[in-house]
Amino acid sequence: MSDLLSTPAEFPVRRRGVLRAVLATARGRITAGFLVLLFACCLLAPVIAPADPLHQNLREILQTPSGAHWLGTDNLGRDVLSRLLYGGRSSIVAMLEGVAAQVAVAVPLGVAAGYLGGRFDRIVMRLADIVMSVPVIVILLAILAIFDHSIAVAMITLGVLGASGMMRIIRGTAMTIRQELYVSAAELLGLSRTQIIFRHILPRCRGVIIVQTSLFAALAIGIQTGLTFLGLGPPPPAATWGGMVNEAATTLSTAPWLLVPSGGLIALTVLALGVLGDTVRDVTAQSHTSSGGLRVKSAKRRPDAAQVSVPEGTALLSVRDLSVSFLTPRGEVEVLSGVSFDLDAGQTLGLVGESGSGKSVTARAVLALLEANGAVTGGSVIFDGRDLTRATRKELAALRGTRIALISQEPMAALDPSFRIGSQLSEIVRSHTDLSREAAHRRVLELMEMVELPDPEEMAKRYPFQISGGMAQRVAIAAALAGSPDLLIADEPTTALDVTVQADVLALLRRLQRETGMAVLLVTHDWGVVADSCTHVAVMYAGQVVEQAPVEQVFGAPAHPYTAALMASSPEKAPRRTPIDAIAGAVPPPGTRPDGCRFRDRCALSAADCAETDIPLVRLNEERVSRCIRTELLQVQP
Amino acid sequence: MKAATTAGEAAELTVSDLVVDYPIGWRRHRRAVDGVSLSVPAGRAVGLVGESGSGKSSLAKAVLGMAPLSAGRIAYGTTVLNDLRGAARPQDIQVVFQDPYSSLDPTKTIGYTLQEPLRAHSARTGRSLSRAEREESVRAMLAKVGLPAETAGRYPSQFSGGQRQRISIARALILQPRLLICDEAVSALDLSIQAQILNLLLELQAELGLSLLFITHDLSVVNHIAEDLVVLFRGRVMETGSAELVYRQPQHPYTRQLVMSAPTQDLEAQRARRERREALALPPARPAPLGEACPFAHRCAFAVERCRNERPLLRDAPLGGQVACHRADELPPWSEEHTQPREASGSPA
Repeated sequence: MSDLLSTPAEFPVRRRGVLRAVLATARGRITAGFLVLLFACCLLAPVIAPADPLHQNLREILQTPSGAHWLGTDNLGRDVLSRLLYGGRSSIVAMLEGVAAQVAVAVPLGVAAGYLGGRFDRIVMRLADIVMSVPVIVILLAILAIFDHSIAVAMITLGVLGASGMMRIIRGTAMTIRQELYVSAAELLGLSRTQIIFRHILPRCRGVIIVQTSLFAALAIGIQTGLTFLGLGPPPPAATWGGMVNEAATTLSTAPWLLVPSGGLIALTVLALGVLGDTVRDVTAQSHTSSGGLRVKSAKRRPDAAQVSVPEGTALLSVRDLSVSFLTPRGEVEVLSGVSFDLDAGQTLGLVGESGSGKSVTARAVLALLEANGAVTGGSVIFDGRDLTRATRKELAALRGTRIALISQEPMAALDPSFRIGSQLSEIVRSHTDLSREAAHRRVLELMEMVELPDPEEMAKRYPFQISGGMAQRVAIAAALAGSPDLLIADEPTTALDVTVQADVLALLRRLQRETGMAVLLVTHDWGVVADSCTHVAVMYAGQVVEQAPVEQVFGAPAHPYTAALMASSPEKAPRRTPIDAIAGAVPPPGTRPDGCRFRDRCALSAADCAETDIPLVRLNEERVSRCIRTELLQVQP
Repeated sequence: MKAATTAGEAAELTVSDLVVDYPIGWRRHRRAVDGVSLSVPAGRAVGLVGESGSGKSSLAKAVLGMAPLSAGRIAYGTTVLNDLRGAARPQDIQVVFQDPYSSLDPTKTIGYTLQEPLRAHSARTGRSLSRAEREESVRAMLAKVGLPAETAGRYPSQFSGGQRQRISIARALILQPRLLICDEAVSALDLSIQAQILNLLLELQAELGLSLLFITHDLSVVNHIAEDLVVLFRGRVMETGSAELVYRQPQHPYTRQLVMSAPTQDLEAQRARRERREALALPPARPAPLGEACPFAHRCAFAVERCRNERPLLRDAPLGGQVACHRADELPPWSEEHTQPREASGSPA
């Protein structure tokens, strides 16, 4: 189940074309502008060139730039600017020939191999392997010798030989897209393979094709100038960029300037193509990263949040008015607004809510483990009398693992696949204590026995990929217990597990809590898990706690319309094959939450005054609060 | 190849002795589905429930022509589907997948995605639809799944998971199929959205007379939507029967363990389930049996020597339905007084 940490990337985004996205960046504008200008000038050379590129004037040789010759003259007195423009035409044509040949070979073969797979794919890939092992330069020299210095033939050969690299990349992309479910759906709806390739596979490969083409164009320019530098292209006096570098090299000691225009332009062109390719890659990949390097100013750096809140009561963990914002490309978005709850030693508090409620962000904020683009913007997290939102990195590091531990939905992600389980646990044990190697190993076996892993000695020798998801979660719990924490934060610990395994893991957590007396903050979306394991529950909706109470009271009679509605949406609550009491609409994403009561748009009890002010948490009894001003309509037992 | 069944007349999906093997490495394979037989009668909702590795998704893929068949027969009405691929398959069987994100092409508008099957279909049948006719069917289908007509002009990225799942359902239904396969179609959704989609599926099933093959790991969901249940474990059918019977009176130790393990959102009932499960004192995990044994023997509290040597066949169960257990007649009686008090009283809150 996707949770709030990923929501900033899921905001409705208008799809933009690759070109417009590239031009929206400064790099993209500069490089694309430079290349367009260069190509236009070269193509228009006969019109705009100030002089005939072949016109010699031996009285004005090797001049530096002047009004008559903007870029000076060469050793035969020819105008360098004009020669560059005319020479550029052959370079550009050569580049286009190479690129066209490459694209013509690589795109159809790559897409077909990736989509069709099977024997066709194997044959194409073996051929690509063979082509890749061919020495390109040797072949090009041979081709030039056979075809009488025809750069065109050489560049087409280069394109064909160079296609294997691009083809592999396109094949990989096409293979990934083939796995997407919409391709399967299209097949089932009777579309032919050709239709699927043209409508669904190719458009998604566009970004990769543009990047590869751009990089290959840079390479082609380099090769073409190299060949003409060696005199393998059109014979003198025809203007070529490589030839001009060659001529400049002969007079390098007497006229060093001459190398600057030709060499500089080649370098700039190659650089521009390379940067353009990188820019395209960045913009096509950007949609997959949520933070994008953005940072929110945290409360620590905000002057208005300077006053230190006084811890009240004796709760082990006391979260007060916690607010968290994430900075997204569309501005700063408040994800948590004034979240408050208490958790005592020995209790299990279930933090319940749907995606977008902020339950996982709350759990992360308690540990100060927010993603880079998120920060606490207000409130406090008082753990054992200390405010964690103000703690330094060092203080937090000392707390994590020893006093507060975390287990997450993805236990495998917490384990390094290249080390044995025993050695990973041992490392954690030794980082918390100063036990010797043997003592740490004994402690590891003890921990593994505690989490009911069968045959600990043998299990310690296994690698993470050799165990099941349920076993991995037990190992993660063992790691969390290594520091004998006072507070265990369990973020959807059983969501990825099968029900039979989930029941085992929940039973284990219950037993461990009984034995150690630790407090557990259990983040979950499943009321059944709450009923099974929690003593208290805090229901979250749209970044706020809407109700907190002991489980008996909440299951007995919900004191917030959202709690009641969410419980009623379970299929357990309706007779078989009859409509479930579903809540209309969806949780509003951060940034689009209504004023006043955030649930009022979907609430059956809402009235005009629900929209007027922000609804405070109302205390209903000693242990129970609700963020609703109409609780009397819900018939809550006091 | 022309489909034996045309749109408008429903037929029964029959799967007989299906075996699906996936190759892993050189000359080795993993058996995902191991001799499964089931049928989805016309207009009926059949639930297929199982945990990871039970073969439930492989079975769906096999029915959809997306998995290699090693043995067995899949037929829809009189059409044998075994070797039919792509456009040769009858479009009477459609699917809604689990992941609402990868189910839609991000580069195409919703309107395009919904019109595409219509175009392909008219090209195949030679009966051409005008642009206006196509747009009209798209509008009608969007209305049917509860989305406004403007949806057609937008891209998938502008919709939430629940809305995308509605769009996937619209796409699956646009060619008026007779059988809809839901492969964990509500598993990725939040509780309140899941309820909306389940209601929509029930409504559409009644309105269009669809058959449903509903595949999930979630017992409470499948128990709500299905009329018949098939319980899979490691590629084999453990128990089948009416949903009422299988859920209320599970006759296979595995089904019982599933029911006991699924946490219910009722404190009393959950306490009872938990205590019942703990009292069972399940045997410690042992390596899973190979070959001719009951696949559940290593986790079964009732297993005897015979269970480890002889593979139980599916046979008629004492209380109705079918069960694959040697000891089905000897199991202690099952009762769960505290489950679902609301269902007993008839009306939900």
